[in-house]
Amino acid sequence: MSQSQFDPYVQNGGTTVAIAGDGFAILAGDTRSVNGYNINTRFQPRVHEVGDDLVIGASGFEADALALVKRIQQRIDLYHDNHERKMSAQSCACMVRTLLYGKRFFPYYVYTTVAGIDKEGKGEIYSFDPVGSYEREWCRAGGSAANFITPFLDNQVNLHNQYVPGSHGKERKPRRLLKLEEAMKITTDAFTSAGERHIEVGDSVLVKIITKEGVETRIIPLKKD
Amino acid sequence: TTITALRYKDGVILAADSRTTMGAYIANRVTDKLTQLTDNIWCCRSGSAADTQTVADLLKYYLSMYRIQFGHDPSVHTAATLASEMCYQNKNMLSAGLIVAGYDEKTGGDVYSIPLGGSLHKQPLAIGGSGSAFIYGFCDANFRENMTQEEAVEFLKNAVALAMERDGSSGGTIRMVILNKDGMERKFFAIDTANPIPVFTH
Repeated sequence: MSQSQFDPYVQNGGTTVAIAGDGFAILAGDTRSVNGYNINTRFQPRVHEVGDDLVIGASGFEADALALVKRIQQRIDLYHDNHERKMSAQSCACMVRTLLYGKRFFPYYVYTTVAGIDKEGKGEIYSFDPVGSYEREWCRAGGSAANFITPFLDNQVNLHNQYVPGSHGKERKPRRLLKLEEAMKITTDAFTSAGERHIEVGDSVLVKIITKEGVETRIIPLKKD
Repeated sequence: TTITALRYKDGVILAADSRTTMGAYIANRVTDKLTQLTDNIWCCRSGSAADTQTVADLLKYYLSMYRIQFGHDPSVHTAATLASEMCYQNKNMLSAGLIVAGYDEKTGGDVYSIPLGGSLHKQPLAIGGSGSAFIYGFCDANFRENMTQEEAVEFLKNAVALAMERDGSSGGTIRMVILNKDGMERKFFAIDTANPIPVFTH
């Protein structure tokens, strides 16, 4: 005799990449939404503008992701009413943490990223685990193909295992902040490569670029197979 | 996987995608799922890669022994019967869905489908693998017997491409083998090449 158990979670796939630089932050997410080997839709945005030049990336269980983004949006609206000023990315991240930890024992099955710009104009990225542990970072890959993209980002953004030519592996390449177009190129390559090796990555990438001028949206096409 | 084979005016054509997965990970994106059994008989493999490679290797061995013992090539029927026998007798241990197809001067070419249990079905068109579920409608609507080679290649290319777009475990490139009185010809289709894969999704 077997009993069927209540199973409230579905893995809908989805991958996000965030890179912060001097004067910008980009948050990109592929738009394929899957259920097992079936594609639900080829265009499901998982990076969301929530106002105040803040962008939320949320992937994992789509229903939870959308519910979380909706609650973040509501909390930002409340914040405006109460404080009559823009919400900073730092405040937003702190608030998202409480939303996630508030469901510590029935979590939002979501990998969340918050992107914005800090007071000095530097890009700001905060990444979260499903129960609210968070950290500010310069770059982060989240979601189903994060395993594939993270080592690429380590190498291309943080220059891990890269040495000055001719130094015979003695002198490390100095760390530097990326320019926007460099970061865009790395993001594009990350997604096209992940698409070649992960069945849940494909169709297109929705990119949100945050600068002090505001938020710009770009779409990068990917293979559809 | 998506595998297909059909009989056309001059012989048979086999076609397959090239994706091999381990869960969500694409272990090989340029797999060759079309395997030669004799000079004029090929098979499409679906299911466990290890199982089907082993079955194909054994088939290849027995068919070469047949040729030595009887002094002539085995017919497609013989090859397919042997394949189905192996799949049927070992059905508890195997995860193997095969399509055996070949050219034969007497019959003008035959296609046999051998799905999971090891049954044997002679068909003018056979489709198989997880991706085939997505293209039954397309095949019912567009398949005709006695197509020209150009028509048949186009039909199979479109069928496999459609399955690749919708099935998570199908994708990559399209590989084909054409078998007729002139021997064999291989075709290869991939995006951003002179032989592109058709795109149906906008």
